[in-house]
Amino acid sequence: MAESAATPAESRPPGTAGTAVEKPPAGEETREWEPVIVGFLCNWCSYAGADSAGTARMVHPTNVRIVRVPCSGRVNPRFVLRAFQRGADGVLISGCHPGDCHYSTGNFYARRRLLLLKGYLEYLGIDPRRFRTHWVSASEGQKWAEVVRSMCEEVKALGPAPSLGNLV
Amino acid sequence: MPNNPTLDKNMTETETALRREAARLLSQGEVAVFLGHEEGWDGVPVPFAASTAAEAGRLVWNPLSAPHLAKYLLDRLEGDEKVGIVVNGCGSLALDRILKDRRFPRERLHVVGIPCSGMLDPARVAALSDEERERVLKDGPVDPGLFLDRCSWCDVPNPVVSDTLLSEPLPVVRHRPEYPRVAELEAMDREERAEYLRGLYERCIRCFACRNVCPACNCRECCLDQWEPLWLGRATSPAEQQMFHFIRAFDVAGRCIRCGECERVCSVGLPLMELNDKFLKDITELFGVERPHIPADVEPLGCFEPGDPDLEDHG
Amino acid sequence: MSTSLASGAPTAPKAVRLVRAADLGRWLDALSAGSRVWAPQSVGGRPRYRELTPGREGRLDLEAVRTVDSPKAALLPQTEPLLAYRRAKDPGTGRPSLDLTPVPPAEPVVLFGVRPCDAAAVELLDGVFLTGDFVDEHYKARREKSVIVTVACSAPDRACFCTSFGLSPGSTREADVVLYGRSGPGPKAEPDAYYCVAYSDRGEALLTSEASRSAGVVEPPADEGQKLEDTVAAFRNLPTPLAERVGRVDVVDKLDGLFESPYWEKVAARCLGCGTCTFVCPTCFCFGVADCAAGGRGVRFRYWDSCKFPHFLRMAGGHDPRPHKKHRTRQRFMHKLNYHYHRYGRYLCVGCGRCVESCPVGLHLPQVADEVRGLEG
Ligand code: SF4
Ligand code: SF4
Ligand code: SF4
Ligand code: SF4
Ligand code: FES
Repeated sequence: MAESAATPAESRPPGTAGTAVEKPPAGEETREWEPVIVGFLCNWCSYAGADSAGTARMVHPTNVRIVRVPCSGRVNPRFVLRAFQRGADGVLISGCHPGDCHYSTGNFYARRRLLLLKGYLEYLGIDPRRFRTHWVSASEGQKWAEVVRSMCEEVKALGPAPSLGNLV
Repeated sequence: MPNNPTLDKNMTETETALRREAARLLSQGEVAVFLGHEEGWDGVPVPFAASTAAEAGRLVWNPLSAPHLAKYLLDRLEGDEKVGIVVNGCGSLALDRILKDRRFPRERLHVVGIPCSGMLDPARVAALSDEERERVLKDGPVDPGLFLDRCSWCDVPNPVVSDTLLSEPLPVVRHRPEYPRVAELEAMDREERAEYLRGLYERCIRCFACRNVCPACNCRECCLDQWEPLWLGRATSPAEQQMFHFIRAFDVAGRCIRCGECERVCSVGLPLMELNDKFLKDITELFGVERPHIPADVEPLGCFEPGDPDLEDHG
Repeated sequence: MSTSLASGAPTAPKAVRLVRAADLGRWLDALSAGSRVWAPQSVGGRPRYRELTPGREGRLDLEAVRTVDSPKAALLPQTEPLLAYRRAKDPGTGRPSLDLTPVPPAEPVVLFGVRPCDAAAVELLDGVFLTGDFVDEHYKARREKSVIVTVACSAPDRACFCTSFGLSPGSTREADVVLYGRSGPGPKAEPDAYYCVAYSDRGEALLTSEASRSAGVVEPPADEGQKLEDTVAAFRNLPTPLAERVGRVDVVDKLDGLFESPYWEKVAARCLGCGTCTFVCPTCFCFGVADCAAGGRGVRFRYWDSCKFPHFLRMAGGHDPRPHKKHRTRQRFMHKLNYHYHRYGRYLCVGCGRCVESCPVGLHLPQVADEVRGLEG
């Protein structure tokens, strides 16, 4: 079943309207709705990869709000759920290729955890297409641009993520 | 293949042996305190810490001795006195959980083990009529539905940790764990499942009984109690309720022993195993761990294989 | 609403009506038109005391002996927004400021199908929130717009002991209206109709309203006056099973000398330190205040806290005056059976039996009240 757009205000419990990530105002004729994607990028590979995409002036969407983390192994699954609760339409985790982690095994551990998370998010009712993990090295600016572009397109097609009921 | 729990016919003798053994340990100074059960006000066994040989006489062992005791060890971390504890099969898994998580020193324990073929769910028995209850507790036969849920999949009748065994070990038949409740939920439409879980969260009063009873929830300081960082907002808004249940289940993923104590103590009757079992099922499917609820030296999330399924393939 | 703590004697009825059990649903619908209505319902297989909302899971369950949660949430919600704020700019000076928005005023609420013990518990909450130097505006606003419709208990169960505190299955304390099963008390009573007796102006207004009348709340037959009196008396004289074991609870003096008793360590050894007993209890009222803020706006809210939780009393700087379970367990029972009595002249328990039923390890107030009698000290 397709996800409905944001929960209608009247069906929300009192005091739970709204989300924290200030989104571009929806419904303005001059601007299309743009998804907000929170990206957790490891410092050593993916953050550098995103950086190289930038310095090479590759054109790619600007929807990803980047959170730099020391390693993909640093990403606590709660960060991901919290991002969705705070209004993210998608969450992207990106780290070094398996075998290339700066801390040698961080992303191997992360992979197990995030595999479970992926299945669990779907179990909780969050469309798995809104949550992705990729391995992007420091030299893969091109791949980064491609990952962002494809994820953006996919999430845009899905529309705004349903509200999960914050107090503010 | 489900298990077929039965009631041990020799529980009275076992109870006598337990009292004798605990009294011996206490009077000879081998342990300073002995964790067991005593009869509660309504006749149902409740956790009890005996500290004298005379108090050991109050210990009970009967078909309703369901509560696990290992979690109480965390109240006794201070000091170096030795602690005695009684465990049956699943109770020893709880104990092993705490030991494998290195939360209590094995040297400070004296474990009295009791092989076990089944325990009744005190709440289900309490709901019977007075005559029916008496009949069931006296000589059965017992409707399989009256046993604890965990008995229906248990294949660890003999304690995995013990210093003294009070009766002969029982034959062991291995089962492949099944997760019918999770399969049912997975079969639902995603939005329908989300709605179902919203209902579950909404009924929770956030009392933390599920966390407090859980042998795998054994951190020195629980993140749910912390203010900085504030992992869990104090509001019982839908988002925070979801976060609470997310954290509680995820943090025991790979360490949950499938005892169902969390579900049993929940005063509003939330089916928490539907959350815990999802992880157990996925751990088997993704990482090939056959019996993920049995404490292992290295937990499924504490290790990896270079050949684990790759996430990029998973989207 | 009576805020005089010395009251409690049954007042004279202000109005008497009769409603058929079959018309209760209709009556509740009629009441919902002008108020929010809370009522005992079966939710997720358990009796819960909840707001009736159309379309939400839950069936009216008036005969459940006790709901898992008490009606206190209608007056003291588990999460209660106190104010909302938003970051703004002062238009004059251009300096950053905060826009404060008070929460919407409390709406009228009917607490329907409340048990007599739980209604009596409201009197205790009133004492805390409405008397003394500080009046809690938020509680007051809700309380002033509340009407309590009690249903007398026809079959107190083995966890009930309200009579240990001088209450009864037919107590009218803090009740605006009491419903008495017309067939009188009894284990299998499934009354086909209820006498509805108003004991306050608010109750009278509710009973005699057009909404109630048109929903089938009618004058009882004129010749049933004696039957009504007998029925009311039968409910008032009904014994409660657990009270036969506990007896009258009066342990305040005894506890004065037991603060340092080793007994507390013994009791605490069993406690899980969860908050079940405090959250289900109709008289426990401890709360905390916190903010939920993000993206330039926030809500300040009050939430239930529990003396059983670690950190409950932890202070800035990290000192915790009740670091061990022993201290916290002692606090709960001393508060209920001693401190509160000294301050308000009442025990902070109404014998509802919720802790008896819900504590996962069978550690509850009546047992402690009974055991302390036998202690040295
Ligand atoms: S025991 Fe039940 S009600 Fe209490 S916090 Fe756990 S799930 Fe919620
Ligand atoms: S079944 Fe529940 S109580 Fe038992 S280990 Fe798993 S999460 Fe903890
Ligand atoms: S007395 Fe029972 S319900 Fe209360 S905190 Fe202790 S274990 Fe929980
Ligand atoms: S202490 Fe127990 S019996 Fe007394 S009012 Fe609270 S929940 Fe009810
Ligand atoms: S440092 Fe990049 S994934 Fe570990």
